[in-house]
Amino acid sequence: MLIFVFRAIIIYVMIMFSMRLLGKRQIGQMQPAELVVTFLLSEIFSIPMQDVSIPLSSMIVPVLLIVSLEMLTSVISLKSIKFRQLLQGNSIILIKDGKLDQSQLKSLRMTTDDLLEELRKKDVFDISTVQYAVVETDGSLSVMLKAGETGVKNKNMDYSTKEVTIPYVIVSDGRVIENNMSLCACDRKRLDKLLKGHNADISEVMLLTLDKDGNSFLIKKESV
Amino acid sequence: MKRLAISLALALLALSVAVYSYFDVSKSTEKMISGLEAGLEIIESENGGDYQTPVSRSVGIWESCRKRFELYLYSEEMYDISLNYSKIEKLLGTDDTVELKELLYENINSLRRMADSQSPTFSKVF
Repeated sequence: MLIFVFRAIIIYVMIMFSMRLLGKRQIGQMQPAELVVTFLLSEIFSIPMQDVSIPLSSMIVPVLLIVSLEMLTSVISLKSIKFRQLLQGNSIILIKDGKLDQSQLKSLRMTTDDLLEELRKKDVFDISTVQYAVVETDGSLSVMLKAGETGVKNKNMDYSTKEVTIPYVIVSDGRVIENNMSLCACDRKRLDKLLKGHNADISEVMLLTLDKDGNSFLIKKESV
Repeated sequence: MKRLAISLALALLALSVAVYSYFDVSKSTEKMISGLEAGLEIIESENGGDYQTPVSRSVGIWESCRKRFELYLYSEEMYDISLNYSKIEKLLGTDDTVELKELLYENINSLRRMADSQSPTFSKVF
């Protein structure tokens, strides 16, 4: 019995150590791979608790390796957009400018019922009110309603409204996202002009978004 | 950078433990097997040579490795070997070479199996 007591203490310390290193994220916010790693670690931790003939090192070594690999992939993901895309995929726009992209729906193996269910979870009961719907890399759906459908409805107040456009990320962590630049009809010249307007160099930019109306938003990198 | 350094340090630690345990088991079992085989050869030659010395050396190596092996080997793997070595130790003081020979053969095979279980061959990994 005492063996279990000592093992339980050691395993508990290892769990705290591993979770501390892996970082704070709620289960619902984890990427699928992170979720699998978390469950895998819990299985590995339980092995030496079930059988005292199994040495603790058969738990410690795989745990250390898995934690280190997870940390390594997170570091590489931070530095490399391509690697991040390979691991996590891209967010997919399902509804764009109020129009459902059926080919994307098919590629996600989602039915319209699934989509409507996800919209209802976001308190959206009428798909026609949706301007943009994006399936994020963790599988959740983000929704932006049409301008006239948000809050106090402008159409009820007889205000004429202009449709809002989704801002695209054109610079992330000092790197230009060429695909998104073409989506908002932005070329290098315009980008340089934008940066000049924000009084920033591209290497100083943490995040720069631009929408089709030319509204930009910039966050500079904080000096460490 | 800090996370990268920590992740590499953890990976290095895990790999070091794994590699060290593999080499420790294989080198130690090699020495133990050679002692037992030397004793077996002397017994089988039937010319009354000193078989006790190499076999006792093997027993001594096992005693010195046992605690270390408990950290990275399954206790079932070690139980039979431990039992055989204690029987071998008792028989070294007697003239019963018949039973001793059997135990030596058995222990050589068990040690080989134990060392083999640690080697990362393709079929074991997959």
